[in-house]
Amino acid sequence: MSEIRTETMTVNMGPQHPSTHGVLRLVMELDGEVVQSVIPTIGYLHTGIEKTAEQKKWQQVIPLVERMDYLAAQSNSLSYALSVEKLLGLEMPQRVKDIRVLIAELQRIASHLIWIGTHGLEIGAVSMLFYAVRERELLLNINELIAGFRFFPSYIRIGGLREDLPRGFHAQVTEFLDRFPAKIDEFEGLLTKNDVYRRRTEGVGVISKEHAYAWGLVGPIARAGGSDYDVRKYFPYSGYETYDFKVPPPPKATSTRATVSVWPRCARASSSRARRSAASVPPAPGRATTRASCRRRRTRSTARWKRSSSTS
Amino acid sequence: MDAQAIIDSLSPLVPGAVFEAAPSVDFTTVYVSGEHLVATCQALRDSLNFETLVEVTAADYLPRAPRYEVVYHLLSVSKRLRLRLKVRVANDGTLATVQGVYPGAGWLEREVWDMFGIVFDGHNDLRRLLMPEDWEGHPQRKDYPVQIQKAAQTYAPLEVSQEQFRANLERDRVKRTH
Amino acid sequence: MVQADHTHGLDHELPILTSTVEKIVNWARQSAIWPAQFGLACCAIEMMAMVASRYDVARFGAEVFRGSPRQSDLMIVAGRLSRKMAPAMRRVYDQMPEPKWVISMGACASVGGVFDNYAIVQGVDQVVPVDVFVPGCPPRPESLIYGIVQLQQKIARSRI
Repeated sequence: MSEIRTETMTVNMGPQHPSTHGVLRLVMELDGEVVQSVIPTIGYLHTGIEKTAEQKKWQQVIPLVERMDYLAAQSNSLSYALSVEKLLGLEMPQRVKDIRVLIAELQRIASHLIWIGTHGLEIGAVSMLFYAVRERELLLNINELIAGFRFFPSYIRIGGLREDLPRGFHAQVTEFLDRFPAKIDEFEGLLTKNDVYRRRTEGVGVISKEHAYAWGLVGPIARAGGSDYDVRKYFPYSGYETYDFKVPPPPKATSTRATVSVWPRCARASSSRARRSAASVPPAPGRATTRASCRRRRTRSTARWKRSSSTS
Repeated sequence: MDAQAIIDSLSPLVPGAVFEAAPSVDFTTVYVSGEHLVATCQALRDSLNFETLVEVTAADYLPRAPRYEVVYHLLSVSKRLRLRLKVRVANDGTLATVQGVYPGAGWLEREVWDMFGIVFDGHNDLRRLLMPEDWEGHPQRKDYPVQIQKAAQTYAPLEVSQEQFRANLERDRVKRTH
Repeated sequence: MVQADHTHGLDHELPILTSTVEKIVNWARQSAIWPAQFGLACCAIEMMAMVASRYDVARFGAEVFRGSPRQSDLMIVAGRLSRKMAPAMRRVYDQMPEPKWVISMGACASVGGVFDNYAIVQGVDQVVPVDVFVPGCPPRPESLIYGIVQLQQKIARSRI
């Protein structure tokens, strides 16, 4: 009997591939299904946003920046607005901070939903995508309510927000937050204890905390490795220091599956934070004023705000 | 820790280095000179617990000399501190790589090379990261145009030469007979 | 006199429907367009939303998004095409068998969109021939469905 020839196979997972969701090229050396080495090539989505932003006025950069991480669009504009406000030395009023936190948390949930949906889709649990996108549609409805556009509302501006919250916002957000924890249980029931899923993800791609720090990885990957670094706790911005929340504790298992088990806790924490900030933002605009000078100059939007405060 | 405190704790660890506190609106910023960069990073990681290098980037101040400032963002999780190190680099200047101290700097420095043209000595793999491999020019320099009129390249050149391709065929044909 | 007619317009003695080959072939082609996945950026997420249950595009025939271009007949270029990606995209287009169509989804794919700079190809029609342009940044899923319907009408009008 001839001996079995075993050698590794070099496969190019080219920039267009069903599971890259975005473009990434991997030249992998495979031994069966185990990856021995990878040479990744990125840059297929390099957009030159920084260079383009150098040519624009300060406010015009907001739509550009929102398209950087398109899953949690308004988080990008929030970080840009916060940076410029730091340079200007502006302090935001409490209502603006609360609304921004609320939007950031809802965007975080939306981004995680796409992650879990496409993660399940690529592992093979195709229905995960449909479940996750269904919830995300509700969040996009909220975006649409705020500023008329599903994805990139350009609602967070330098010096505050574009305009105050519309009527019906509270009802819609509360309805979503009431419905969401049951959905997290549903997603967990689909994936977390699924045997096939566990066999595919447990022990795969383990990164320890020290490794993550050495390679500059922070975020869910570091947290899956055992870190508790969370920017919102360590260097709080936009009023996060007034919120009482727990960073999801690192799980005992250090594996890809750990990221998935961390996620439901993140999502629950996000929704409770969102609920807290929604409660602190009163429905009626009332006496909200902004002291930022660039907002006062926009008299047209101030007039619109005055009109909405008198009618609601 | 403010800039002066960092400088005071660093000065004994990196002899001969001159640090300069820089004004900043968010977190501590310290200028360091290029020759002492790697030693400074080593000291920061080992003695002052800055375990993570988060970002390496650069800024081009064109008419001014030295032209570039390479910026390193460091993070200490255990001490809850952020630090920004800045190094002034002249046009066509080079800088030592900090890959030995923070392995994550590999790709970050590739990006700086790609975008600005600053060469990092000792880097094991300094090639283009974001632009195509055969691109000319360094896009984020201030004298590089934002819009260019160039037809899109629709065909990629072969990655192996004709002779190599034939040799590969031959090699595989021989292997397949058993 | 109106009676209940169960013959559906056919003569019950000779149940034959006649048409032209062109119409039948075009009807078959337009009713079962299978797109190849070519999601690049934000428009890809909107395309996924179109595939999902709220704006179900399977009603329009685009039942499966094939992973391999060799098994698809429509390429929806969803997202901004960077100069590095252009040769790869051309290669994917070349691998699709005839007849094939291209929908350029979104402003970035149609004209370069918000990004008028060195890195983005200003319009994918520099690389592949486009049949339908769908504007928007990103276009709503209903816009994209409208684009697919327009493409279906274009196929119905075409000569084989």
